[in-house]
Amino acid sequence: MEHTPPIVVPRVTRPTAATTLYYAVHGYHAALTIPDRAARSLARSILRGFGPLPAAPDESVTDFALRHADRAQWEVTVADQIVYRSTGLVDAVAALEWQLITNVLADQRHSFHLHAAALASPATRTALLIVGESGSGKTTLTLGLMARGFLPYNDDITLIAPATCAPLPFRRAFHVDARTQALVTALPSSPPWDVGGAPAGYFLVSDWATASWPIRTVLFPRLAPGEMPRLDPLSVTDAALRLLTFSMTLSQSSALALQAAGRIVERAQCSMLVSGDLAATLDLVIDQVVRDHGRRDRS
Amino acid sequence: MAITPFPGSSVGVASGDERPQKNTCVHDELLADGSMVLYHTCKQQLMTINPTAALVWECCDGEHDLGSIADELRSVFPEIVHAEADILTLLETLLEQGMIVDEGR
Repeated sequence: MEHTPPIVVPRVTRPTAATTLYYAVHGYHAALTIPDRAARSLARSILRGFGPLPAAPDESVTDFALRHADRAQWEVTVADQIVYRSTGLVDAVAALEWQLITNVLADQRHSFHLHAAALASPATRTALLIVGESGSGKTTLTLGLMARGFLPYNDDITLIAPATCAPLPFRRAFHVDARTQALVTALPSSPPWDVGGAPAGYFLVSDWATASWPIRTVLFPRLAPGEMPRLDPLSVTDAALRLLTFSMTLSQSSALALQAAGRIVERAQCSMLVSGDLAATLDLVIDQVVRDHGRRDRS
Repeated sequence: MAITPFPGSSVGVASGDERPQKNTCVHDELLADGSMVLYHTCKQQLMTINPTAALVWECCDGEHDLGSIADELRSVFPEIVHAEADILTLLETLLEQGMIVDEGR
């Protein structure tokens, strides 16, 4: 009987440099293997704030991949586990980015994470936190303040160094919907839109905050179209409770989260912000940042 | 001055002989105004207490009973009139929320 050897399909066990992008984000190392040129270009554009590295790092990396599952679907895998499937390339790239960010955050055991935007005010050399759920107006306020000279650490996720209670840069691309883009574009001076080849809605920042400045103002915005913008000061207790509600660290490293929240509310003026007309709201927020800086200087 | 947990509710549990003790699952943080945040790591539940309640909390060490907690409280806040009743209400709430455990003797 004739014996036919089985057909062995060779498997690529190490990604080739041409199709793999390497990133190091706050000590987390990742290799993104994306064979499709268009998909790789999109991913590279969205992740531009984080790299890529010029070469594979020496440290161990987590393998991510985005490739065709079949002719109709894209597939995202992390360490060879399928985590997402979609017919849309942009959705798949967004899922890849989200998975990477999620893993980076899970790896940050020594910083305090908040669902918040953070900005630096060069005029006062202080930092501002805007803390709230998705849809509360964080990105709109962030972009509006950028148009007034503030520099962003990020617009959605804030990492804070517990020792200094200062925000750390987290250069994730902004995701801006059409309504927000229209609002900000209508301002007298809007920030430059650097789309940089990213999918529609993604916005790359060219000037990030890098200085480690203390947080002196914390705002919890509530959208109230048509209302006069106003600030309602919070007690230390209420501010700490609210801050912790938006912390991603509390369940992982509760002692660190409690201590960081306590220090932030001790040093910063914390207020609820009723956010109405954008230009008027920005005036109010900037006045508050200047007042908080002066208040601290006198103390 | 009232001893107030947030949120507060009262159930009739403590009798006065118990020596309450902090649950080891609870982390606390004293804030700048003397109030305190409690976090129950197992139940993932947050709670804040005012400065007088924070002092009571510090006495929940398994050694103090109701009377000795009241003495500690009066030594710091002499204006408190109904210390035992207020402490009892607070302890019942803390017990209900799982923040303390009874160490009856």
